[in-house]
Amino acid sequence: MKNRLRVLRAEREWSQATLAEQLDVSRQTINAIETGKYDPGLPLAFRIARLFDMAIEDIFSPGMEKET
Amino acid sequence: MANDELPRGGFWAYLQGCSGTLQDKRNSRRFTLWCLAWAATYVGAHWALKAHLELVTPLVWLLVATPILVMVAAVFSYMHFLRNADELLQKIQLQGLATGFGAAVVFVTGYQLLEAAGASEMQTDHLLMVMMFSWVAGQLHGVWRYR
Repeated sequence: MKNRLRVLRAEREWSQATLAEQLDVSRQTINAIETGKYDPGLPLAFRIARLFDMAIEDIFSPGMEKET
Repeated sequence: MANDELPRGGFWAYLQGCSGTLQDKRNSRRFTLWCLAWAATYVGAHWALKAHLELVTPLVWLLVATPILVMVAAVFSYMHFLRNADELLQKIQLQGLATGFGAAVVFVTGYQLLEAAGASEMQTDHLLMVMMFSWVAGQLHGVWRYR
């Protein structure tokens, strides 16, 4: 799965810790999602989409990477 | 920009930042306290039961039951921690548990063959050690994998 989380976060000049706090997850989770090592579950994906006021598919898209 | 916000100071410093959200840290601390309480009650009870003190039967039962009840509380505390944990932390913890369980199965079945070949009888302490170390090793591997 590919995602635009890092770009969206950078546009808002948020740190990983700030984003993690807003989503109520750990900073490690944000880092693992941004680096493509971890794909979030649906509830977290919806929270991310809601936070950025976007649709899930505008943030996450199927990629060639194998899910870990 | 990859990993640009990881704390400096190597893997151990990184581990400090990988214990989940504030709630996870709180729940993890509670579980650790139950484990410490278990260790204290277990050592105390073991010493008292082995010291050939002339204990009345109800006291013997109390000594046996206390560490068991404290460990049951620790298990419930861990389950609470796991249910409420950050989703990546849940995944890492489950990987640790699977590693611990797998290592225990390998150890027991492997050691049974060694016993058949003449090795000394397996100690349950050794099994617990294998489970604990492989549980921690599985967690460390998970942290490293999703770093």
